[in-house]
Amino acid sequence: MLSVDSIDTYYGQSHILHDVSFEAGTNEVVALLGRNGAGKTTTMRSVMGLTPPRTGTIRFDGTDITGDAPSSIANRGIGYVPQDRRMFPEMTVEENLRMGLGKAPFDPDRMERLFERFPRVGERLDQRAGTLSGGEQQMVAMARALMRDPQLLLLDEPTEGLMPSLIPEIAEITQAIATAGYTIVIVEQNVDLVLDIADRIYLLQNGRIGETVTPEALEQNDAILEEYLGV
Amino acid sequence: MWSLHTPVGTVTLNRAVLLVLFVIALLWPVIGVGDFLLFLGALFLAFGLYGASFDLLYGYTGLLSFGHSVFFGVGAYAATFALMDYGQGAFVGLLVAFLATILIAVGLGLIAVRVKSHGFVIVTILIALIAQRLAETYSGITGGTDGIIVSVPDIWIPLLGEYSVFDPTFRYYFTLGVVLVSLFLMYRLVISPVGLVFRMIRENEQRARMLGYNVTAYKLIAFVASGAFAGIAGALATYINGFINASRFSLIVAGDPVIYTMLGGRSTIVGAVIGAVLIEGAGNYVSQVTDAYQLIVGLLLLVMVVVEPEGLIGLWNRLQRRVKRRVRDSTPTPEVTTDD
Repeated sequence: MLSVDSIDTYYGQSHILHDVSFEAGTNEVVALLGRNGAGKTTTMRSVMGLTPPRTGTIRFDGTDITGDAPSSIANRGIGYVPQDRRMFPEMTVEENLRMGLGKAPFDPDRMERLFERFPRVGERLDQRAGTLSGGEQQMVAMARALMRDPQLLLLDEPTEGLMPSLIPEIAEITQAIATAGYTIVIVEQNVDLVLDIADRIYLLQNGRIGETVTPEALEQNDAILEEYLGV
Repeated sequence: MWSLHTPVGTVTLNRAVLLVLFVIALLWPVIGVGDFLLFLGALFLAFGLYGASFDLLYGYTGLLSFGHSVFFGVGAYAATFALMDYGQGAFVGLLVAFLATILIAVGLGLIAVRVKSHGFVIVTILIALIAQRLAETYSGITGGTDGIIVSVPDIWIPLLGEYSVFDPTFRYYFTLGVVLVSLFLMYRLVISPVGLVFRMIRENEQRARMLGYNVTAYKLIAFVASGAFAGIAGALATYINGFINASRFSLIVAGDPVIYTMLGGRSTIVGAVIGAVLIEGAGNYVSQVTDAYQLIVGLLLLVMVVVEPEGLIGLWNRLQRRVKRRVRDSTPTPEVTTDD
Protein backbone atom coordinates (compact mmCIF):
# COMPACT_ATOMS: atom_id res chain seq x y z
CA MET A 1 0.00 0.00 0.00
CA LEU A 2 2.76 2.47 0.94
CA SER A 3 6.19 2.14 -0.56
CA VAL A 4 8.94 4.59 0.33
CA ASP A 5 11.97 4.11 -1.86
CA SER A 6 15.38 5.71 -1.18
CA ILE A 7 14.14 9.15 -0.14
CA ASP A 8 16.46 11.99 0.83
CA THR A 9 14.86 14.90 2.65
CA TYR A 10 16.38 18.22 3.63
CA TYR A 11 15.43 21.14 5.87
CA GLY A 12 17.07 23.95 3.95
CA GLN A 13 20.73 22.94 3.69
CA SER A 14 20.45 20.26 6.40
CA HIS A 15 20.32 16.74 5.06
CA ILE A 16 17.89 14.94 7.40
CA LEU A 17 16.85 11.67 5.73
CA HIS A 18 19.44 9.59 3.92
CA ASP A 19 18.28 6.93 1.47
CA VAL A 20 15.28 5.93 3.62
CA SER A 21 13.21 3.01 2.33
CA PHE A 22 10.36 1.12 3.95
CA GLU A 23 7.03 -0.46 3.07
CA ALA A 24 3.62 -0.95 4.65
CA GLY A 25 1.34 -3.58 3.09
CA THR A 26 -2.46 -3.68 3.36
CA ASN A 27 -3.62 -4.12 6.98
CA GLU A 28 -0.06 -4.09 8.22
CA VAL A 29 1.10 -2.10 11.23
CA VAL A 30 4.58 -0.79 10.65
CA ALA A 31 6.57 1.12 13.25
CA LEU A 32 9.45 3.54 12.96
CA LEU A 33 11.57 3.57 16.09
CA GLY A 34 14.55 5.68 16.98
CA ARG A 35 15.87 8.27 19.40
CA ASN A 36 14.93 11.93 19.29
CA GLY A 37 16.28 13.53 16.13
CA ALA A 38 16.57 10.21 14.27
CA GLY A 39 14.27 11.46 11.51
CA LYS A 40 10.99 9.70 12.38
CA THR A 41 8.74 12.77 12.18
CA THR A 42 10.55 14.01 9.07
CA THR A 43 9.76 10.66 7.44
CA MET A 44 6.05 11.14 8.23
CA ARG A 45 6.14 14.71 6.95
CA SER A 46 7.86 13.52 3.77
CA VAL A 47 5.09 10.98 3.13
CA MET A 48 2.43 13.68 3.70
CA GLY A 49 4.20 16.09 1.34
CA LEU A 50 4.75 18.64 4.13
CA THR A 51 8.53 18.31 3.71
CA PRO A 52 8.83 16.68 0.28
CA PRO A 53 11.95 14.59 -0.40
CA ARG A 54 14.46 15.90 -2.92
CA THR A 55 15.22 12.46 -4.30
CA GLY A 56 13.60 9.03 -4.16
CA THR A 57 9.95 8.06 -4.65
CA ILE A 58 6.92 7.56 -2.44
CA ARG A 59 4.16 5.36 -3.85
CA PHE A 60 0.69 4.93 -2.43
CA ASP A 61 -1.45 2.17 -3.90
CA GLY A 62 0.98 2.02 -6.82
CA THR A 63 0.72 5.74 -7.63
CA ASP A 64 3.77 7.98 -7.34
CA ILE A 65 2.80 10.74 -4.87
CA THR A 66 6.28 12.19 -4.43
CA GLY A 67 6.10 15.98 -4.45
CA ASP A 68 2.29 16.11 -4.55
CA ALA A 69 0.57 18.80 -2.51
CA PRO A 70 -0.29 17.72 1.08
CA SER A 71 -3.99 18.34 0.37
CA SER A 72 -3.88 16.01 -2.63
CA ILE A 73 -2.03 13.32 -0.64
CA ALA A 74 -4.54 13.54 2.24
CA ASN A 75 -7.45 13.28 -0.19
CA ARG A 76 -6.05 10.02 -1.58
CA GLY A 77 -7.03 8.45 1.75
CA ILE A 78 -4.09 9.02 4.07
CA GLY A 79 -5.03 10.14 7.57
CA TYR A 80 -2.32 11.88 9.56
CA VAL A 81 -2.24 12.28 13.33
CA PRO A 82 0.68 14.64 13.80
CA GLN A 83 2.93 15.03 16.78
CA ASP A 84 1.48 17.53 19.32
CA ARG A 85 -2.06 16.81 18.01
CA ARG A 86 -2.24 20.09 16.01
CA MET A 87 -5.79 21.04 16.92
CA PHE A 88 -7.60 24.15 15.78
CA PRO A 89 -7.84 25.45 19.35
CA GLU A 90 -10.42 28.18 18.77
CA MET A 91 -12.82 25.83 17.00
CA THR A 92 -15.13 23.35 18.71
CA VAL A 93 -14.44 19.63 18.89
CA GLU A 94 -17.22 18.99 16.39
CA GLU A 95 -15.76 21.52 13.95
CA ASN A 96 -12.32 19.95 14.35
CA LEU A 97 -13.81 16.55 13.55
CA ARG A 98 -15.70 17.80 10.50
CA MET A 99 -12.49 19.32 9.22
CA GLY A 100 -11.07 15.81 9.04
CA LEU A 101 -13.47 14.99 6.21
CA GLY A 102 -11.57 16.81 3.49
CA LYS A 103 -13.48 16.08 0.27
CA ALA A 104 -15.22 13.03 1.75
CA PRO A 105 -18.99 13.30 2.36
CA PHE A 106 -20.27 13.59 5.93
CA ASP A 107 -21.59 10.30 7.30
CA PRO A 108 -23.44 10.67 10.66
CA ASP A 109 -23.33 6.89 11.24
CA ARG A 110 -19.59 6.91 10.89
CA MET A 111 -19.39 9.73 13.43
CA GLU A 112 -21.54 7.76 15.87
CA ARG A 113 -19.29 4.73 15.46
CA LEU A 114 -16.29 6.94 16.18
CA PHE A 115 -17.93 8.10 19.41
CA GLU A 116 -18.22 4.46 20.48
CA ARG A 117 -14.46 4.24 20.10
CA PHE A 118 -13.86 7.70 21.60
CA PRO A 119 -16.73 8.29 24.07
CA ARG A 120 -15.01 11.31 25.64
CA VAL A 121 -14.89 13.04 22.27
CA GLY A 122 -18.64 12.58 21.84
CA GLU A 123 -19.24 14.20 25.23
CA ARG A 124 -17.28 17.33 24.37
CA LEU A 125 -18.52 18.22 20.91
CA ASP A 126 -19.40 21.83 21.77
CA GLN A 127 -16.25 22.51 23.75
CA ARG A 128 -13.41 24.56 22.27
CA ALA A 129 -10.63 22.14 21.33
CA GLY A 130 -7.99 24.36 22.95
CA THR A 131 -9.59 23.82 26.37
CA LEU A 132 -9.26 20.01 26.25
CA SER A 133 -6.57 18.11 28.11
CA GLY A 134 -3.64 16.64 26.16
CA GLY A 135 -5.15 13.16 26.20
CA GLU A 136 -8.53 14.40 25.01
CA GLN A 137 -6.86 16.39 22.24
CA GLN A 138 -5.03 13.24 21.18
CA MET A 139 -8.35 11.40 20.97
CA VAL A 140 -9.85 14.22 18.88
CA ALA A 141 -6.81 14.17 16.58
CA MET A 142 -7.18 10.41 16.10
CA ALA A 143 -10.94 10.64 15.57
CA ARG A 144 -10.39 13.49 13.09
CA ALA A 145 -7.99 11.36 11.06
CA LEU A 146 -10.52 8.49 11.04
CA MET A 147 -13.43 10.71 9.94
CA ARG A 148 -12.89 9.94 6.27
CA ASP A 149 -12.14 6.25 6.88
CA PRO A 150 -8.58 6.43 5.53
CA GLN A 151 -6.84 3.53 3.85
CA LEU A 152 -3.59 4.42 5.58
CA LEU A 153 -3.12 6.04 8.98
CA LEU A 154 0.09 7.80 9.99
CA LEU A 155 0.39 8.11 13.77
CA ASP A 156 3.18 10.31 15.05
CA GLU A 157 3.94 9.69 18.74
CA PRO A 158 0.35 9.25 19.97
CA THR A 159 1.41 8.90 23.63
CA GLU A 160 3.98 11.69 23.66
CA GLY A 161 3.53 14.42 26.25
CA LEU A 162 0.54 12.76 27.91
CA MET A 163 0.00 12.34 31.65
CA PRO A 164 1.31 8.85 32.54
CA SER A 165 -2.19 7.88 33.74
CA LEU A 166 -3.61 8.53 30.26
CA ILE A 167 -1.01 6.57 28.30
CA PRO A 168 -2.69 3.15 28.79
CA GLU A 169 -6.02 4.52 27.49
CA ILE A 170 -4.45 6.01 24.36
CA ALA A 171 -2.37 2.86 23.90
CA GLU A 172 -5.52 0.77 24.16
CA ILE A 173 -7.31 2.91 21.54
CA THR A 174 -4.28 2.71 19.25
CA GLN A 175 -4.29 -1.03 19.65
CA ALA A 176 -8.01 -1.19 18.88
CA ILE A 177 -7.53 0.87 15.71
CA ALA A 178 -4.67 -1.41 14.67
CA THR A 179 -6.76 -4.55 15.12
CA ALA A 180 -9.68 -2.92 13.26
CA GLY A 181 -7.82 -3.54 10.01
CA TYR A 182 -6.29 -0.17 9.17
CA THR A 183 -2.89 0.02 7.56
CA ILE A 184 -0.82 1.98 10.03
CA VAL A 185 2.60 3.56 10.10
CA ILE A 186 3.37 4.53 13.68
CA VAL A 187 6.19 6.53 15.17
CA GLU A 188 6.41 5.97 18.91
CA GLN A 189 8.90 6.12 21.77
CA ASN A 190 6.75 3.82 23.89
CA VAL A 191 8.47 0.56 22.96
CA ASP A 192 5.95 -1.64 24.77
CA LEU A 193 3.08 -0.25 22.70
CA VAL A 194 5.00 -0.77 19.46
CA LEU A 195 5.98 -4.32 20.40
CA ASP A 196 2.31 -5.10 21.06
CA ILE A 197 0.87 -3.84 17.78
CA ALA A 198 3.55 -3.74 15.08
CA ASP A 199 4.05 -6.40 12.41
CA ARG A 200 7.43 -4.97 11.44
CA ILE A 201 9.75 -2.38 12.95
CA TYR A 202 12.19 -0.13 11.14
CA LEU A 203 14.93 1.28 13.34
CA LEU A 204 16.17 4.74 12.44
CA GLN A 205 19.43 6.34 13.39
CA ASN A 206 20.73 9.71 12.19
CA GLY A 207 18.25 9.79 9.35
CA ARG A 208 19.04 6.30 8.07
CA ILE A 209 17.19 3.01 8.38
CA GLY A 210 19.60 0.79 10.29
CA GLU A 211 17.67 -2.42 10.89
CA THR A 212 14.35 -3.99 10.01
CA VAL A 213 13.13 -6.37 12.70
CA THR A 214 10.06 -8.16 13.95
CA PRO A 215 8.74 -7.26 17.43
CA GLU A 216 9.74 -10.70 18.69
CA ALA A 217 13.29 -10.29 17.46
CA LEU A 218 13.55 -6.83 18.93
CA GLU A 219 12.24 -7.98 22.28
CA GLN A 220 14.98 -10.55 22.54
CA ASN A 221 17.79 -8.32 21.36
CA ASP A 222 18.94 -5.97 24.09
CA ALA A 223 21.90 -4.81 22.03
CA ILE A 224 19.67 -3.35 19.29
CA LEU A 225 17.39 -1.75 21.86
CA GLU A 226 20.41 -0.16 23.52
CA GLU A 227 21.94 0.98 20.22
CA TYR A 228 18.86 2.51 18.65
CA LEU A 229 16.76 3.53 21.62
CA GLY A 230 19.10 3.68 24.57
CA VAL A 231 16.87 1.42 26.68
CA MET B 1 -27.15 33.76 30.36
CA TRP B 2 -30.54 35.35 29.70
CA SER B 3 -32.70 33.58 27.16
CA LEU B 4 -36.37 33.46 26.34
CA HIS B 5 -38.10 30.36 25.03
CA THR B 6 -40.77 31.14 22.44
CA PRO B 7 -42.85 28.90 20.18
CA VAL B 8 -40.58 29.86 17.23
CA GLY B 9 -37.32 29.25 19.06
CA THR B 10 -35.03 30.46 21.82
CA VAL B 11 -34.22 34.17 21.92
CA THR B 12 -30.79 34.70 23.49
CA LEU B 13 -29.60 38.10 24.69
CA ASN B 14 -27.38 38.49 21.61
CA ARG B 15 -30.28 37.71 19.30
CA ALA B 16 -32.51 40.15 21.20
CA VAL B 17 -29.93 42.93 20.74
CA LEU B 18 -29.68 42.13 17.03
CA LEU B 19 -33.46 42.21 16.80
CA VAL B 20 -33.58 45.64 18.47
CA LEU B 21 -30.94 46.96 16.03
CA PHE B 22 -32.92 45.52 13.13
CA VAL B 23 -36.15 47.16 14.35
CA ILE B 24 -34.35 50.52 14.75
CA ALA B 25 -33.00 50.20 11.19
CA LEU B 26 -36.46 49.29 9.93
CA LEU B 27 -38.22 52.15 11.73
CA TRP B 28 -35.55 54.78 11.06
CA PRO B 29 -37.61 56.61 8.40
CA VAL B 30 -40.85 56.19 10.38
CA ILE B 31 -39.61 58.02 13.49
CA GLY B 32 -39.31 61.26 11.51
CA VAL B 33 -35.55 61.74 11.39
CA GLY B 34 -35.64 64.00 8.34
CA ASP B 35 -34.19 63.75 4.85
CA PHE B 36 -30.57 64.36 5.78
CA LEU B 37 -30.50 61.63 8.40
CA LEU B 38 -32.21 59.30 5.95
CA PHE B 39 -29.48 60.09 3.44
CA LEU B 40 -26.80 59.47 6.07
CA GLY B 41 -28.55 56.29 7.23
CA ALA B 42 -28.51 54.86 3.70
CA LEU B 43 -24.88 55.88 3.19
CA PHE B 44 -23.79 54.35 6.50
CA LEU B 45 -25.54 51.10 5.61
CA ALA B 46 -23.63 50.98 2.30
CA PHE B 47 -20.39 51.62 4.20
CA GLY B 48 -21.45 48.93 6.67
CA LEU B 49 -21.78 46.44 3.84
CA TYR B 50 -18.32 47.51 2.66
CA GLY B 51 -16.97 46.81 6.16
CA ALA B 52 -18.78 43.46 6.40
CA SER B 53 -17.34 42.39 3.04
CA PHE B 54 -13.87 43.12 4.40
CA ASP B 55 -14.67 41.16 7.58
CA LEU B 56 -15.61 38.18 5.41
CA LEU B 57 -12.00 38.09 4.22
CA TYR B 58 -10.03 39.35 7.22
CA GLY B 59 -12.22 38.11 10.05
CA TYR B 60 -12.71 34.61 8.70
CA THR B 61 -9.51 33.78 6.79
CA GLY B 62 -7.13 36.21 8.49
CA LEU B 63 -6.10 37.86 5.20
CA LEU B 64 -5.54 41.55 5.92
CA SER B 65 -6.34 43.44 2.73
CA PHE B 66 -5.54 47.12 2.35
CA GLY B 67 -6.78 47.04 -1.22
CA HIS B 68 -10.49 46.65 -0.71
CA SER B 69 -11.06 50.10 -2.20
CA VAL B 70 -10.32 48.51 -5.59
CA PHE B 71 -13.47 46.40 -5.34
CA PHE B 72 -15.47 49.28 -3.90
CA GLY B 73 -14.33 51.43 -6.84
CA VAL B 74 -14.73 48.75 -9.53
CA GLY B 75 -18.27 48.01 -8.36
CA ALA B 76 -19.10 51.72 -8.30
CA TYR B 77 -17.74 52.35 -11.80
CA ALA B 78 -19.19 49.16 -13.27
CA ALA B 79 -22.67 50.14 -12.07
CA THR B 80 -22.15 53.72 -13.28
CA PHE B 81 -21.16 52.57 -16.78
CA ALA B 82 -24.11 50.15 -16.89
CA LEU B 83 -26.49 53.00 -16.02
CA MET B 84 -24.95 55.91 -17.88
CA ASP B 85 -23.46 54.26 -21.01
CA TYR B 86 -25.77 51.30 -21.51
CA GLY B 87 -29.03 52.70 -20.14
CA GLN B 88 -29.56 49.85 -17.70
CA GLY B 89 -31.64 49.99 -14.52
CA ALA B 90 -30.42 50.10 -10.91
CA PHE B 91 -30.82 46.34 -10.29
CA VAL B 92 -28.90 45.46 -13.46
CA GLY B 93 -26.30 47.99 -12.33
CA LEU B 94 -25.91 46.11 -9.04
CA LEU B 95 -25.64 42.80 -10.89
CA VAL B 96 -23.01 44.22 -13.25
CA ALA B 97 -21.11 45.61 -10.23
CA PHE B 98 -21.24 42.16 -8.60
CA LEU B 99 -20.07 40.29 -11.71
CA ALA B 100 -17.41 42.82 -12.76
CA THR B 101 -15.93 42.76 -9.26
CA ILE B 102 -15.87 38.96 -9.30
CA LEU B 103 -13.93 39.07 -12.56
CA ILE B 104 -11.41 41.59 -11.25
CA ALA B 105 -11.15 39.79 -7.88
CA VAL B 106 -10.35 36.46 -9.56
CA GLY B 107 -7.57 38.12 -11.57
CA LEU B 108 -6.10 40.00 -8.63
CA GLY B 109 -6.71 37.12 -6.21
CA LEU B 110 -4.70 34.68 -8.33
CA ILE B 111 -1.71 36.94 -7.66
CA ALA B 112 -2.46 38.11 -4.11
CA VAL B 113 -3.49 34.89 -2.31
CA ARG B 114 -0.31 33.11 -3.38
CA VAL B 115 1.73 35.63 -1.44
CA LYS B 116 2.00 34.81 2.24
CA SER B 117 1.74 36.88 5.42
CA HIS B 118 2.96 40.48 5.14
CA GLY B 119 3.52 40.02 1.44
CA PHE B 120 -0.25 39.78 0.97
CA VAL B 121 -0.78 43.11 2.74
CA ILE B 122 1.88 44.78 0.59
CA VAL B 123 0.46 43.34 -2.63
CA THR B 124 -3.05 44.63 -1.77
CA ILE B 125 -1.67 48.11 -0.99
CA LEU B 126 0.14 48.14 -4.34
CA ILE B 127 -3.02 47.03 -6.14
CA ALA B 128 -4.96 49.93 -4.58
CA LEU B 129 -2.22 52.43 -5.48
CA ILE B 130 -2.08 51.20 -9.08
CA ALA B 131 -5.88 51.28 -9.38
CA GLN B 132 -6.04 54.86 -8.08
CA ARG B 133 -3.28 55.97 -10.48
CA LEU B 134 -5.03 54.30 -13.41
CA ALA B 135 -8.37 55.89 -12.49
CA GLU B 136 -6.73 59.33 -12.28
CA THR B 137 -4.76 58.87 -15.49
CA TYR B 138 -7.71 57.70 -17.60
CA SER B 139 -9.87 60.60 -16.51
CA GLY B 140 -11.66 60.57 -19.90
CA ILE B 141 -13.33 57.35 -18.78
CA THR B 142 -13.44 57.72 -15.00
CA GLY B 143 -13.87 61.47 -14.63
CA GLY B 144 -10.59 61.52 -12.67
CA THR B 145 -10.63 63.43 -9.39
CA ASP B 146 -13.41 65.73 -10.70
CA GLY B 147 -15.66 62.72 -11.05
CA ILE B 148 -18.93 61.96 -12.83
CA ILE B 149 -22.46 62.91 -11.81
CA VAL B 150 -24.46 59.67 -11.77
CA SER B 151 -28.12 59.80 -12.61
CA VAL B 152 -29.96 56.72 -11.34
CA PRO B 153 -33.15 55.92 -13.26
CA ASP B 154 -36.37 55.24 -11.38
CA ILE B 155 -36.52 51.79 -9.86
CA TRP B 156 -39.43 49.49 -10.51
CA ILE B 157 -40.27 47.20 -7.60
CA PRO B 158 -42.58 44.28 -8.46
CA LEU B 159 -46.09 44.70 -6.94
CA LEU B 160 -45.16 48.09 -5.44
CA GLY B 161 -44.52 50.24 -8.51
CA GLU B 162 -41.88 52.73 -9.62
CA TYR B 163 -39.82 54.86 -7.23
CA SER B 164 -37.15 57.51 -7.56
CA VAL B 165 -33.87 57.26 -5.66
CA PHE B 166 -34.28 60.95 -4.97
CA ASP B 167 -37.06 59.95 -2.60
CA PRO B 168 -35.08 59.71 0.68
CA THR B 169 -37.38 57.12 2.28
CA PHE B 170 -37.33 54.83 -0.76
CA ARG B 171 -33.56 55.26 -1.14
CA TYR B 172 -33.10 54.26 2.49
CA TYR B 173 -35.30 51.15 2.24
CA PHE B 174 -33.78 50.15 -1.10
CA THR B 175 -30.29 50.30 0.47
CA LEU B 176 -31.45 48.51 3.61
CA GLY B 177 -32.99 45.72 1.51
CA VAL B 178 -29.85 45.19 -0.59
CA VAL B 179 -27.60 45.35 2.48
CA LEU B 180 -29.72 42.87 4.45
CA VAL B 181 -29.82 40.36 1.57
CA SER B 182 -26.04 40.71 1.14
CA LEU B 183 -25.39 40.28 4.88
CA PHE B 184 -27.64 37.21 4.92
CA LEU B 185 -25.74 35.65 1.99
CA MET B 186 -22.40 36.37 3.66
CA TYR B 187 -23.68 34.90 6.92
CA ARG B 188 -24.82 31.73 5.12
CA LEU B 189 -21.38 31.45 3.55
CA VAL B 190 -19.47 31.78 6.82
CA ILE B 191 -21.61 29.18 8.64
CA SER B 192 -21.34 26.72 5.72
CA PRO B 193 -18.59 24.05 5.51
CA VAL B 194 -16.72 26.48 3.24
CA GLY B 195 -16.80 29.08 6.04
CA LEU B 196 -15.45 26.49 8.43
CA VAL B 197 -12.45 26.01 6.13
CA PHE B 198 -11.97 29.81 6.07
CA ARG B 199 -11.70 29.78 9.86
CA MET B 200 -9.40 26.79 9.77
CA ILE B 201 -7.09 28.70 7.40
CA ARG B 202 -7.15 31.68 9.78
CA GLU B 203 -6.06 29.42 12.64
CA ASN B 204 -3.40 27.42 10.82
CA GLU B 205 -2.84 27.11 7.08
CA GLN B 206 -0.48 24.19 7.21
CA ARG B 207 -2.83 22.10 9.34
CA ALA B 208 -5.58 22.80 6.83
CA ARG B 209 -3.34 21.55 3.99
CA MET B 210 -2.42 18.49 6.00
CA LEU B 211 -6.11 17.60 6.33
CA GLY B 212 -6.63 17.73 2.58
CA TYR B 213 -7.78 21.28 1.88
CA ASN B 214 -6.54 23.33 -1.04
CA VAL B 215 -5.81 26.45 0.99
CA THR B 216 -5.04 28.65 -2.03
CA ALA B 217 -8.40 27.80 -3.64
CA TYR B 218 -10.33 28.57 -0.44
CA LYS B 219 -8.45 31.84 0.04
CA LEU B 220 -9.37 32.76 -3.52
CA ILE B 221 -13.04 31.97 -2.83
CA ALA B 222 -12.96 34.25 0.25
CA PHE B 223 -11.13 36.98 -1.67
CA VAL B 224 -13.60 36.90 -4.56
CA ALA B 225 -16.75 36.69 -2.41
CA SER B 226 -15.48 39.49 -0.22
CA GLY B 227 -14.62 41.60 -3.28
CA ALA B 228 -18.01 40.98 -4.91
CA PHE B 229 -19.92 42.29 -1.88
CA ALA B 230 -17.56 45.28 -1.64
CA GLY B 231 -18.48 45.93 -5.29
CA ILE B 232 -22.18 45.99 -4.41
CA ALA B 233 -21.41 48.38 -1.55
CA GLY B 234 -19.55 50.66 -3.97
CA ALA B 235 -22.48 50.65 -6.39
CA LEU B 236 -24.93 51.42 -3.58
CA ALA B 237 -22.78 54.31 -2.29
CA THR B 238 -22.74 55.73 -5.83
CA TYR B 239 -26.53 55.46 -6.16
CA ILE B 240 -26.91 57.29 -2.83
CA ASN B 241 -24.32 60.02 -3.53
CA GLY B 242 -25.20 60.41 -7.22
CA PHE B 243 -21.51 60.98 -7.78
CA ILE B 244 -18.31 59.03 -8.33
CA ASN B 245 -14.64 59.92 -8.74
CA ALA B 246 -11.21 58.30 -8.80
CA SER B 247 -10.70 58.75 -5.06
CA ARG B 248 -12.94 55.71 -4.52
CA PHE B 249 -9.75 53.71 -5.11
CA SER B 250 -7.68 55.63 -2.55
CA LEU B 251 -5.84 54.08 0.38
CA ILE B 252 -7.98 56.15 2.76
CA VAL B 253 -11.09 54.44 1.40
CA ALA B 254 -9.18 51.13 1.63
CA GLY B 255 -8.51 51.78 5.32
CA ASP B 256 -12.16 52.51 6.17
CA PRO B 257 -13.42 48.90 6.34
CA VAL B 258 -10.36 47.94 8.40
CA ILE B 259 -11.35 50.57 10.97
CA TYR B 260 -15.06 49.62 10.90
CA THR B 261 -14.16 45.99 11.55
CA MET B 262 -11.66 46.75 14.29
CA LEU B 263 -14.19 48.90 16.12
CA GLY B 264 -17.20 46.64 15.67
CA GLY B 265 -15.46 43.29 16.11
CA ARG B 266 -14.07 40.84 13.62
CA SER B 267 -15.49 37.48 12.54
CA THR B 268 -19.01 38.68 13.19
CA ILE B 269 -20.15 40.27 9.84
CA VAL B 270 -22.60 42.51 11.72
CA GLY B 271 -19.81 44.04 13.85
CA ALA B 272 -18.39 45.91 10.86
CA VAL B 273 -21.84 47.37 10.11
CA ILE B 274 -22.12 48.64 13.69
CA GLY B 275 -18.55 49.96 13.44
CA ALA B 276 -19.34 51.81 10.19
CA VAL B 277 -22.47 53.44 11.59
CA LEU B 278 -20.63 54.55 14.77
CA ILE B 279 -17.49 55.81 13.01
CA GLU B 280 -19.29 57.65 10.23
CA GLY B 281 -21.98 58.89 12.63
CA ALA B 282 -19.40 60.12 15.14
CA GLY B 283 -17.36 61.73 12.36
CA ASN B 284 -20.44 63.55 11.15
CA TYR B 285 -21.48 64.86 14.57
CA VAL B 286 -18.07 65.60 16.07
CA SER B 287 -17.11 67.55 12.94
CA GLN B 288 -19.99 69.94 13.71
CA VAL B 289 -18.49 70.63 17.15
CA THR B 290 -14.76 70.83 16.41
CA ASP B 291 -12.38 70.77 13.47
CA ALA B 292 -10.23 68.27 15.36
CA TYR B 293 -12.86 65.57 14.93
CA GLN B 294 -10.52 63.21 13.08
CA LEU B 295 -8.05 63.42 15.96
CA ILE B 296 -10.77 62.69 18.53
CA VAL B 297 -12.25 59.78 16.58
CA GLY B 298 -8.72 58.49 15.93
CA LEU B 299 -7.85 58.59 19.64
CA LEU B 300 -11.07 56.79 20.56
CA LEU B 301 -10.20 54.09 18.04
CA LEU B 302 -6.69 53.77 19.41
CA VAL B 303 -8.03 53.29 22.93
CA MET B 304 -10.51 50.72 21.62
CA VAL B 305 -7.87 48.68 19.80
CA VAL B 306 -5.58 48.69 22.85
CA VAL B 307 -8.30 47.95 25.43
CA GLU B 308 -10.33 45.44 23.42
CA PRO B 309 -8.75 44.11 20.19
CA GLU B 310 -11.91 42.13 19.48
CA GLY B 311 -13.91 45.36 19.15
CA LEU B 312 -17.27 46.32 20.61
CA ILE B 313 -18.71 42.85 20.17
CA GLY B 314 -15.68 41.45 21.99
CA LEU B 315 -16.29 43.97 24.78
CA TRP B 316 -19.95 42.96 24.92
CA ASN B 317 -19.03 39.27 25.13
CA ARG B 318 -16.50 39.98 27.85
CA LEU B 319 -19.12 41.93 29.81
CA GLN B 320 -21.59 39.06 29.51
CA ARG B 321 -18.99 36.58 30.75
CA ARG B 322 -18.20 38.83 33.74
CA VAL B 323 -21.89 39.18 34.69
CA LYS B 324 -22.34 35.43 34.32
CA ARG B 325 -19.38 34.81 36.61
CA ARG B 326 -20.68 37.31 39.20
CA VAL B 327 -24.14 35.72 39.18
CA ARG B 328 -22.61 32.26 39.54
CA ASP B 329 -20.30 33.36 42.38
CA SER B 330 -23.06 35.18 44.27
CA THR B 331 -25.51 32.29 44.04
CA PRO B 332 -25.43 30.60 47.45
CA THR B 333 -24.70 26.90 47.34
CA PRO B 334 -27.67 24.95 48.74
CA GLU B 335 -27.19 23.77 52.28
CA VAL B 336 -26.99 20.06 52.73
CA THR B 337 -29.26 18.80 55.47
CA THR B 338 -29.23 15.35 56.84
CA ASP B 339 -31.94 13.48 58.63
CA ASP B 340 -30.33 12.01 61.68
